[in-house]
Amino acid sequence: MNQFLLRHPKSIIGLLVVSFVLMIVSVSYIAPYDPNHVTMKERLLPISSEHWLGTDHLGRDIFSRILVGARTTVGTSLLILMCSLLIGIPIGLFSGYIGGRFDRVLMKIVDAFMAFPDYIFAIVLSGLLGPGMFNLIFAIVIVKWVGYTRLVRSTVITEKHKEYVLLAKINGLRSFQILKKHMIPHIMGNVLVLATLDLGKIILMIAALSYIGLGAQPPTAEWGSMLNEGKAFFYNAPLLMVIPGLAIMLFVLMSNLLGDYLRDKFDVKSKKVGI
Amino acid sequence: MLKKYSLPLILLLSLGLSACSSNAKEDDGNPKVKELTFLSNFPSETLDPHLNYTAVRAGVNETLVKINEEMEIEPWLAESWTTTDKGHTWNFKIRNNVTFQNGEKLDAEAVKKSLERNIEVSEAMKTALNIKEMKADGQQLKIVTNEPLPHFPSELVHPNTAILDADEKDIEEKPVGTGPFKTASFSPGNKLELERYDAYWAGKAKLSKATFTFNEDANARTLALQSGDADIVYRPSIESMESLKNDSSIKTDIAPSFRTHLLMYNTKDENLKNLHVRKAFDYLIDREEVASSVMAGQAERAEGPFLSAFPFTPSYDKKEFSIEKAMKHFEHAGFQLKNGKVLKNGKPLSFKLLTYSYRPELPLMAQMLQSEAKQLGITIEIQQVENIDEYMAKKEDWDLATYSLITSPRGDASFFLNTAYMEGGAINPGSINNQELTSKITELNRTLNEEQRNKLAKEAVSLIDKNRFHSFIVHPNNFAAYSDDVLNWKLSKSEYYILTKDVDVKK
Repeated sequence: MNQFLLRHPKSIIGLLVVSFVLMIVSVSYIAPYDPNHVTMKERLLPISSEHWLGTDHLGRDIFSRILVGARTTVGTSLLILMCSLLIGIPIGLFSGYIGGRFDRVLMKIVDAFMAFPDYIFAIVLSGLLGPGMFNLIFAIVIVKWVGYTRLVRSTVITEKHKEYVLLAKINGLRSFQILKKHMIPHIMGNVLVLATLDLGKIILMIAALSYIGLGAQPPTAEWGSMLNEGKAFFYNAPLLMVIPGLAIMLFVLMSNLLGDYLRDKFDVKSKKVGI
Repeated sequence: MLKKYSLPLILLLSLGLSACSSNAKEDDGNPKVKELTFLSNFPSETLDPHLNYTAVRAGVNETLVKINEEMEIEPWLAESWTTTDKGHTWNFKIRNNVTFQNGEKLDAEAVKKSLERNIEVSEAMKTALNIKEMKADGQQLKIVTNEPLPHFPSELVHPNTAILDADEKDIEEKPVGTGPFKTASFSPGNKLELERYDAYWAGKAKLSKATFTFNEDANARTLALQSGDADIVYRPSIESMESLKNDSSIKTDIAPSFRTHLLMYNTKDENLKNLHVRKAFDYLIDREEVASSVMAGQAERAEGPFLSAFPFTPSYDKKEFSIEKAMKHFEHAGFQLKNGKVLKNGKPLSFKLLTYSYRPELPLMAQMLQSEAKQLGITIEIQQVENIDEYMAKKEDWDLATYSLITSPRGDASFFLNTAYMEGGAINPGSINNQELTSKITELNRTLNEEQRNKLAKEAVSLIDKNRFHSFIVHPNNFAAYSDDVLNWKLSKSEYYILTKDVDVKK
């Protein structure tokens, strides 16, 4: 199995994506209540057989909100990851492969982005753009793409001078084909490891921005904004904060463990350059 | 060499630094240094009293007339006033023994200059005061208004009419007033530091220093009080009031306020122009639940803008929460009903609702309304904005807004009626312009007789009620919590006077 995974990193991505998509689609069917339906008569109920995780300050079922919140939080983080990969990988590939002035200019831009701590940069950007999920996605993508560009570029630079690439050139393969056939398979392992580790970080970032009111807007169920809404009731109903907090913690832990596992399998510790 | 001395040097340095951070209360050991920290929910970006209330609340500036706890007006910087022609010409006698915090004497000329500046910088005050001309002679100030204003002295209670030395330059950050405290430093949106003005006309204040800070997070305010970072906390979190009451080192003060939380309708919107649509929304508001749950019982349900105890409050239409009645009104408005969903020309309705977080209950009310509207297939998109007044003044893309204001700050209906229902009024962003109502308010503004004024105000409020120009939701209680060490402090009903010369601390 391990051998299979190692040889087919794409299958891991496929498996992850399919399982997430399945989860996201099925959430609406599993959620026992409408996550946004306000029932003031049932506010702040404790855990019971009717409401497995109790209800919040507006009488909404916390279990349903956690499930639907997973869709918002995990779905958004996957979207952010995809966007970052789609921007970061091609830029890294071209920058590393073409080299020269093109590479230098691009790397200066990347350095400029990396000069700021990512959290602060994302908070400033979201603050400037205004609250909302779209702006939050934009802000985090702007922060995250540079990591992939750096990683891909450094791998491409080491690979492009190897003999098999030279041979491919002699055989008349065009640059685009070389990138597609020889470079992409090489970088995928590293990118997969970084992406898995990043997933947890992105979720934390979404939650942090939503917690300070810059991300998901009410009544959208999102783990970070659930934490934010629950903080007023921390004394009386700590579950309102504990449950979304646990959900975030477990998911981040899971993605980190998966990332560590994949890193060990691909043995890319030494290759993690510039991230 | 350096290595040898580095450890003692670091120790010495850290000792020095820790000494810097200690509280001034303790470091000089002087029992006379009495200071207090007040923490409020509203950050102020400017100290200019003509634009912001903070300078008056902090005791830096004072107005000519003030309002007491019985909601009656009384002299402050003006000793007395008379009118000879039913409110057209007013003669104010300015108190003789008052000096500004820069030592300059307060005379009628200084008051005139201050009021002139007020009118210049604040469009709202220009409309409210309606001053034609002023003449200063010694301590006598003669004010002529454009039209008779029998309630003119009560307009001068407004904190934005506060008197300042208009010749001073840095009014935004260091206004010079006549109050018991002068500004020591001000950092916008963060902190205001005050020190006692020793030559205060009504006697020296008991505190030497005071700090006004702001934090919009109610829990943070509660924690600041419990940890001793703040001595008085305005509006701690509603949920924490019970636990604060049980704490023997903390006192709580709850008082009914003249504030009303309401739902504004943008009558420029085609749908909301229709009375039935506004009535339908009114039926979607569960006032009972808002008062008991969202406000944790610290509010009274509102049927109209004013508390029922006022003589100018009419008998309001009965308000109830009923989805069925809301549906009927949508139907009356010409919308179609299909499977319990409201449609307009076959399409579902959608509205944009503005709210803000300084009053945390407002976003919750917005979500309650959103959830009820959803049952009828109506989408309400909630947008939380930083500065709702600025947003509503600049943009027209909103339909509904949750808002909160003091409706009868001077125990009089005319302020609210003029600012919320007259064209160009400071809080009329929804452009309410009803001929009948306008003429009633204009007549009210010209009437001197109290009974007649109350009758006219009643009629105007009835019109507002019948037309549902706003949906009034609850009258919240005012509440504050303060340390046991604080003496002579009381929650002011009007919310205008927070720091007075009498406030003291033990020790």
